[in-house]
This record gives sequence, structure tokens and C-alpha cells, in this order.
Amino acid sequence: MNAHAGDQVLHHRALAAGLYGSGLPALQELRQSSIAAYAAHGLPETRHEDWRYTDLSVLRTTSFQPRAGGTLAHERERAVLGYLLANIGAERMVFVNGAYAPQVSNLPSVPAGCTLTTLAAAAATHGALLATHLGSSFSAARHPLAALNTALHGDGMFLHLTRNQALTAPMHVACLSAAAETPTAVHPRLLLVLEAGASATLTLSFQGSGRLHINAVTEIVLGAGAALDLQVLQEDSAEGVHTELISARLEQSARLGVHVAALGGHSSRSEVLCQLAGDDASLSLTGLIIGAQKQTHDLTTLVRHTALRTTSQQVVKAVLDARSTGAYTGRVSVATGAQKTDAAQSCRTLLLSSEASMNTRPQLEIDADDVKCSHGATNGQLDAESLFYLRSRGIPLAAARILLTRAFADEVIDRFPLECVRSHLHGRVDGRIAPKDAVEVTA
Amino acid sequence: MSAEENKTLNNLTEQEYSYGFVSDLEQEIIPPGLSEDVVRWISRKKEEPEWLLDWRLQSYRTWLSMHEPHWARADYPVIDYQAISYFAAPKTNKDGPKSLEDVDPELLKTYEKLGIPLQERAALAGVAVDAVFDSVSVATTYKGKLAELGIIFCSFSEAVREHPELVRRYLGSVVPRTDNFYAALNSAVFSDGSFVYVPKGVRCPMELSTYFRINAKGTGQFERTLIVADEGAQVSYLEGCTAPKRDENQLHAAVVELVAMADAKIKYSTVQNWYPGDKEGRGGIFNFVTKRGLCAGRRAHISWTQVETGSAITWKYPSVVLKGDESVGEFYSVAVTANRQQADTGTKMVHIGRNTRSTIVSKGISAGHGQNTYRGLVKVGRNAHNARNHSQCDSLLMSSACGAHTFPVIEVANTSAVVEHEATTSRISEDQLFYCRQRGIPQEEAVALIVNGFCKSVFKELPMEFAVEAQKLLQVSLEGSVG
Amino acid sequence: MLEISGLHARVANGAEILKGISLTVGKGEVHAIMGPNGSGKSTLAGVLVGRDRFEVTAGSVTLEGADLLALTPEERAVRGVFLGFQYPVEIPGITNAYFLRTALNSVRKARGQTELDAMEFLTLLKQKARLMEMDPSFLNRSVNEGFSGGEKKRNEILQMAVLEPRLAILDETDSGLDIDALKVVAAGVNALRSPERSVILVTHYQRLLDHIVPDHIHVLAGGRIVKSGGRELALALEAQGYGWIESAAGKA
Repeated sequence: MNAHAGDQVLHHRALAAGLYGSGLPALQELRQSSIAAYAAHGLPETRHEDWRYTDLSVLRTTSFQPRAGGTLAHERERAVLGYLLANIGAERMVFVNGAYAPQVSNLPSVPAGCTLTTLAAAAATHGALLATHLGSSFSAARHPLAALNTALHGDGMFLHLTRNQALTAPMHVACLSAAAETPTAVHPRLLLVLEAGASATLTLSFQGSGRLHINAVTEIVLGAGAALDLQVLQEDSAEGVHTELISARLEQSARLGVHVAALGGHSSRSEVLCQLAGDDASLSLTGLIIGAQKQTHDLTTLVRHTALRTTSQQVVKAVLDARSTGAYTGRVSVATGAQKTDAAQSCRTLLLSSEASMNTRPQLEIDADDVKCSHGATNGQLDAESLFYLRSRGIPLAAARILLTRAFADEVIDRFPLECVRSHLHGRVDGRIAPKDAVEVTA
Repeated sequence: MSAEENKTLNNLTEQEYSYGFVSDLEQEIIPPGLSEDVVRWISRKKEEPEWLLDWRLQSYRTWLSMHEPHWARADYPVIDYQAISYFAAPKTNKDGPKSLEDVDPELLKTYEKLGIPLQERAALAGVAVDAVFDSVSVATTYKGKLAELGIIFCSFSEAVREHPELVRRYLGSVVPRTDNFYAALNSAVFSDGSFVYVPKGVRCPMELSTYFRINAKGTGQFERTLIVADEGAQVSYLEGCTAPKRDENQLHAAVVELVAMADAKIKYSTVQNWYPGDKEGRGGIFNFVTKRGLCAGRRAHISWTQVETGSAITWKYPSVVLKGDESVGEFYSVAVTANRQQADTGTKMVHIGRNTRSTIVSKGISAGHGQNTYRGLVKVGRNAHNARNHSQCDSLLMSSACGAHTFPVIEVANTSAVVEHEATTSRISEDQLFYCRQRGIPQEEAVALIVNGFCKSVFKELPMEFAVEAQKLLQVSLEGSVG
Repeated sequence: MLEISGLHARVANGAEILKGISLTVGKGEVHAIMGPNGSGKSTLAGVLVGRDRFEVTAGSVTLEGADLLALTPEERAVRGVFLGFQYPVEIPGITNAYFLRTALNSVRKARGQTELDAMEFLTLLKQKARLMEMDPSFLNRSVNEGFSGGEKKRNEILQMAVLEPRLAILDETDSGLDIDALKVVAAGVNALRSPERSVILVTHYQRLLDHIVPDHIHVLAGGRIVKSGGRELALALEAQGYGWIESAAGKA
């Protein structure tokens, strides 16, 4: 057991009794087995192939104290939430350091029989659903940090849509965090259960400041024909570590869109795990990585095709400046018998600085024969010809670079469903919106 | 695909190994097992100098502390390294054969059965043949002619005796003793192999060729090949192998090192057809090979071309270290896995110098229960300005029980690099098959035609006489009697 | 030559498409099969050449007395059945010339004829290529790879010229062709007309029939031949569309 794991066991021991669900034996057992798994596997190390490009070194050297709650001063609300909350949607659920903040939230009404609430509240009303789904979509051994979240998360969002019901408007889930004097760990958690034919569009945003370790888990269960679009805007603290698992299971004809923008954190890892378990299920995945300063971003995906005629399409682009490092590991696995699978992956990287670097690992594991799978990866710089062409038309070099960078990023930005998020991302790519404008959060 | 088509495909792909037989030469074998004494015995047997024995012993000690790698996508029973015999030499006259007339007629018959009559082949194709039967080189031809140009082409043992300074300078310079588990093992116990040195400015006028065979029962084969092309030199080297049929698994752990100085060019072509095991996967060779080339100087050029149809398990990644500015590395590969074969193969292109270029073309064909994995690394270092790589990895699937896997790794740390990787995986096209059949081409031949088309971009890199053999091997592996 | 009798066929394990087709094509005759989209034209062509995506549920097809349906696709080809594909397939890495020689020699071998060597074949091919006004350079390009729509169709007719079938079925050979390409293709087909060779033209439009004049025209609708006649039938269809035939068939 490494030091980090040892600390976490102690945190669990100290906190367990006060965490929600302590009255439910199933949840208690889950938290117990999760911390045991974490103790056994510990903080992942770069010598492990799956974590080769993830920089978690600061977690090894610094002790992050788990912390829940904190309040946002009302007068600062506007500055804190900024244009982002105002624009992404009036209907929102806000978590401050992992604790639900009702005073700045504005929950939409949901159809009869459906539930939108906190996990803590759901533990009382939907204990069985939680017991069935929490922690069920990933292996604690393979995803130790997600297991750590299971053990330690204090609250989170719970959405349950019954058959053929829909959230009528896009909803925003904001995770705002700010470190205290000491480095702070926060474990945001979402559980989204959409029964057959249900549908929703969600934006999940992370903003933070100070020395934070944000360790989020989103679990998604889509019944037959259900549809979910999830946009993830990761703008966590530039001094912090952001680790995140999005884990989904899709039944027949279900459709999932996951669109991740990795912008924040000194070091970040976003992992998407998706099992296409029902015939004709489909996944559309978008990844946008923007690296500045000495940031490292790791986007890892594992898409498992285990049924007939399932499709997955992954489009990832990275724009890396200064001394930043990006990584994309995309594994597509096609199980025996998963015939007519159609899987495509593409990862394109633009290196803007001579000190930036990118590591790309598209991977295909195919054990069926009637399939169509492809991947493509390119690394390059701004095209000198194009730059020259723009300059010859009177556009200054700096502007020309921005224009071409934006043109490069547009293809993935356009895949984000909501206009407000697209325009925000455009702003980030252009440099019109500085990271600090987007992440100003105080406790 | 119809039941009938499936049946034909199965018939084609379950073809028994057609080159299997055992010749009953008398062998000199040391008892199984590996220890410092065995390493010393091998070195003494080969009358090696002290420095080489030391080198072997250091390798052996390093090997002891290493772990067998298991990251490749291959399943096989645990290898008992103490159950392997580490040296086998055909019994010959005390001083060894000086010409073909001196060679054991049994041995020559073995080559006849393989369809590679030594003299004929050498004479007709202008190929100099350094035939390795088990572990000791037994015949080398055209040596005189090469010697006139200052080209050294001989067995590794002979090179150790005759050109110790060259061997000592380059041995382990590309693949260090400690590089990996199998390379360390090879460095400790390597038996023999080939050595080539092409002096400055000399273009080798003929293809150099070696046939490797494994014959002694339970004998591992640990070949060592070292090819050095000095400034401005050019050489094309052909390695081909078939192996006789047998029941238990055999370990083959070769090391090949290539050194290309400024403006030198080395083209290394392999047709690998070791015994793959039977339909159920019994027997067959474990082929765990380390192959690497160093482009040491400016504009050096190293090209690997391989056609891998044999072995139960293939584990090899012929690589190029592009150290010299403007150097070029190439890797062209066709790998076929049928029945229960497993192949985990690919390449590493390590860009260090400026304006370096690399090309990777990999074609994987999986049939039966075959498992075919491409694993590759393209690494562009911080100072490798204007590095260029293009990789194309395509997989063709021919049965519902086979697997095709692609694991490329691309690490780029230089903004001026342009790296492109493309991969596709698909079933052999029913529309293509039907189109051929509608024109009257029988199913088996149609499959062969389409697969050959699929592999075209690799075959065209092979020297002419090898390309024909490669196509034949491919058809034997996949299409049986179809010609 | 060809005798189709009471033919029913469906998509394998799917809906029935041909619902009882009977048709006799005599030696040297050219028959046009017309019909709206989805009428079963391409299914009929597919069944005649042995596409396994279709399943024959009833009826028979004989070619010069032999049961055609019992044969594999290549056996049918060897007996002289040729299909000009609506969408010719691309085969990367194999040159047109090599492909055609393999095909021709397969056919010759099966017929007990000697196979042609590379020189003999090239002479034959160049002569046939002139007929189709094809640039000889395309013979060394991969089969259909990167060909324009028109080139692909001309290539189909070139293959027909080389293989000299007894029954040629041309499936929508006119689709995707401009008028000049259409004329070249039609001239090629007309040059191959002979008393020994029968042709079935499958087409949606009448315009092909301006250039290749058929002896008989059959209109297919809903999986049946609803009307047969001479050339005047095509003109009536041109003027009035398929509606009147379908509704007439519906009433009947």
C-alpha cells in the first residue's frame, strides 16, 4: 500500500459514519469493498501501461484532505458562476466542494414518477436503485480512483427518468470547488438512470481554484432506446489534479453522446468507459484537449462492443501550446459474436510550441470478423502554406495562427450539442477567454 | 457469407503444413538445462576468445535477474528454460565442410525437400547462400567473389575467429545485452548465425541469403546476425526459413543487429515459415526475435520487409533507430495467422536525428482461430526536427473465430514532426469474392487473388525471387493447393 | 437458351420479392426488363447469377436444359452467364489485366481449352480495349479502383467482350453514364450481339433502348411480369410512366 492509499483508508475510517447511505447495508458494503480495492491497488503509477501518460505525481507527494461543503457568498454569486451558468441554462444543480448548494441551484421540474435530486436524498427514497447501479459499471480493481470516489463521495446528483420521459430543457450540473488553506480533495458523483425511451441533455462543468484534487465519477445507465447527450467542460484549477471516470452501459438501440473538453487542471485525466451491450446501440464521443503552460491532459477511452450492429465514433483533437503534454489512448474492443460492429476513431493533434508533446495510442482489439473498424491519427503543426496565404492577404501572423488553430478545433467543437458551450470553447481556443476568467471560484 | 463459402474458407485456412518432415542426421547435443557451465561449454566448443565468454557470462547473469515479458497478446504454456538443450551441431568432419561436396548428403536432401536446391538456387538466381542447419553454418558459397570486393559474408563463428575486431566493435551495439529477456538469453547462449560487413562505398552485387532451419528435437535455436554497412555501402540480405514437423514446442530467440553508416543502405527481407503447429495448435515454434537497425550516420537507410506465415507464436518488432540526420527507416510486413497461430509483431521507429523519415506498412491476415496483433511505436524526440512518419496498418479477417488487434503508440515531442497513422480492419469482402466468382474464378483462387491484392504494397518491396516465394507461402498458408 | 418458370425468390430470411416469374429468352435474342424501383429487376439478375443474399423458394431456371439454380456462381460463369454489375467492385492491388487473365483462363480451363499465356492474352485484351475506346494504361491499374462511373461500366463491357458469354445480363448498365459514355457502352454491346449470344438488359429508363434495340420488352412490377411487348411498350412507358401499368396490374 503506498502512502496515498494509506491516507485514504484513514480518511474513510474517519468519515464513513457521516457519509450518506451509512444506514444502508448495501451501500456500506460497497464503500467498504471500494476502499479495500483502493488500498490493494493504490494510486496508479506510470509504469502501468494504462496510466503511462497520466501525471499523478503531486498526489504522491502532497496530502489532499477530503472536504465537503462550504458556502458561496451570495454577493459573489454572479462573479463566481460568471457568464457560464447564466448562459448554459437557467436550470441547474450546483455543488460546492461536492456538497449540494440549493441556494444557487434551480432544479427543473421532472415528469411524474421521475426523480432529480441528490444522491443523499435518493438513498432514502431510491435505495434499491442506488444499490443496483452505484459502482456497478466499472471494475474497482481496474479503476482504483473511481473506487476511491465510491468510498468517499459525500453527495452527488441522482437523475432517474422512467420509461419514455424526458428532461425538456438542457440542464447544467456545476461542480465548483475551492481549496482551503490545505490541499483539498473533492469527489463529485453522478448517477444517471434513463429507462427505455427516456432522454436528456446535460452539461457537466468543473470549475475550481487552488490546490485541488477533483476526482469525479459519472455513471450512466441507458435502457432500450434511451438517449443522452452529456457535455463535460473541465476547467478545474490550474494548480490542481483532475481525475474523472465516465462509465456507461447501453441497452438495445440506446444512444449516447459524450463530449469532453479538457481545459483545466495542472494535470488531468478523463476516462470514458462505454459498453454497447444492446444490439444497435451507438456512441458518439468527442474529445477536445487544450494544453497550455505545463499542463498534462490524458484522455482515455475504452469502448466495448458486445452486441450486434453497434456503432461508435470517436473524434478527438488536441491543441497543445507551451510545455504542455497531451495523451489520447482510445481502445475499441469488439467481442466475439459482436458482428456488424462499426467503429471509427480519429485523433488529430496540433502542436503550437516546440516544447509541447503528444502521445497517441489508438487501439483495436477485434474478436469478430464481420466488422468495420478504423482509426487514424495525425500530429502536425500549423500549415506553413496556409499561414503564408493568410499573411499575404494582410492578416498579421498572430491573428493568422489563431484563425488556423480555430479552424483546426472547429470540427470537434461543432460536435458539442449546445451553442453556448460551443461559443465558450471557441473563446478558449481563440484565447479570448483566459482560463482564470472561467474558473474564478472562492470558498 | 454462405455456408459453402465458409466451408471453402475453412478448407483453405486449415491447410496442413506442407514442408514438415524430420531428417535423421546424427546430432551432437548437450543435455538440457542452462547454467554458467553450459555457457562456458558453448563458448569453449566454439573456441571463442575470452572477451566473448565474458560477454556471454555477463548476459547470462543479467538474464537471471530479468522477468519473462508477458505483455504480448499471446497465450502459451510456461516455458521451462531448463528443459531446453542449448547447443546442437550436425556431426561433421573435424574441420567442418569446405564446400558442398563436403556436406552431409542427408542435409542436402533436406534442402531438396524444401525446394531450395542449394547449388541450383545459388547459380540460377545469383544468390550466395549461407545455409544454417540447426546451429552451425555448413555451407557458404560465392565467398570468393564477395571477398574480391572486400565484403565479408560468413558464419558468425567464423567472423569471431577471422574478424574479432569488427565483431567486438559492433556486437551488442544496437541491441544491448540487457535489452530484453530474450535478447539477454540469446547473448548468453547464441550458437551461430551470419555476419556481413560491406566496406566503404561498396555495393554488394548480389542478394545475400541465409536459410535457417530448426531440426534437432527439443533444441532451441539462438541465431545471432550482425550486418554492418560502412559509409556509402549497400547490401540486400534475405532471410528465409522453414522447419520440419514435430510435436513439442520449440523456442527460437534470435537477435539481428544492423548498422548503417552515413549514406549506407541495408535492406533486410524475411520470409518466415517455421512450423506453426497443427490444426489444434499442437507443436509449432515460439519465435521470440529481437531485430533492430541503427541508422548511425547521415542519410543512412534501413528497410525491413517481412512475410510472416509460420510459427505458433511470433513476437518480433524489427525496429530502426534514426540517429543520423536525414536517415530513413522502413518497415513492410505481412503477417498471416491461421489455425491456432498467434502473432504479435510490428516495429519501432525512433526518430532522433533531424529530417528523418519512416514508413510503416503492416498487413495482418487472420484466419481460423488465429490471433494477429500489430504493436508499434513511433517516437519523435525533442530534437528530431522535421521528422516524418506515415503508418498504414490494415487487418483482414477471414473467420468468425479469429482476432485482429492494433496497438500503435505515437509519441511526438517536436512540433515540426508530421506523423500520420491509419488503420483499418475488415472482413474479406463478400462483394469482391462474388465479383471474382461471377467472372468464373473459383472461390479458392478468388480468395488468393484478393489477399494478394491486399498485400501488394508489401510484396512489391521484396526482391523479385523472394516475392514469388512469399506469394507461394501465403497461398500455402491460406489457400492450400491453389496456385 | 434461358427458361425461367414460376420463379419465386426472397431476400434470405426476408420478404418475398419475386412472385412468380416466367420468361423464355431464345438464342440471339435481346430482352429488356423494365420496371420501377423496387419491382424486383435487380433481384432477378441476382438470382440468375447466384447471389446468396437471395433465396429461391419456388420455380426453376434452366440454361440450355441444365438446372442453373443448382450451380455455384463460378460454374454459371463458366457456362457462359455474365453479369454486368450495377456497381462494379473495386479490388485493390490486383491489376485489371491480371484479373481478366485469371478469369479468362479459369473459364477456358473449365471448358477444357488451353490457357492463354501472358503475350497471347495481352494481344487479345488490347484488341478488345480498342473496341471499348479504353486507354491501354488502365489495364495496369487495379480493378475498378479510382475509376469513374463511366470507366467502370466500360470495363464491365470490356470484360464481357473478353469472356464472350452466351447469356449476358446487364444490370442498370446505363445508370450514372453521360450520353457519350452511354453511346460507347451501347456500341460495345451492339458489337457483341450475335445469333449465339442472348442479352438481358435490366433498366429503369427507356433511353438505353434507343441505343440497344431489344427484341422483347417486359415490365416488372411487384415481383411479376405485368406486361410484355415490343419496342412500342418502352415508348409508352417513356410517355406515361409506370403508374398506368402498376394500376392496371393491380386491377388484374
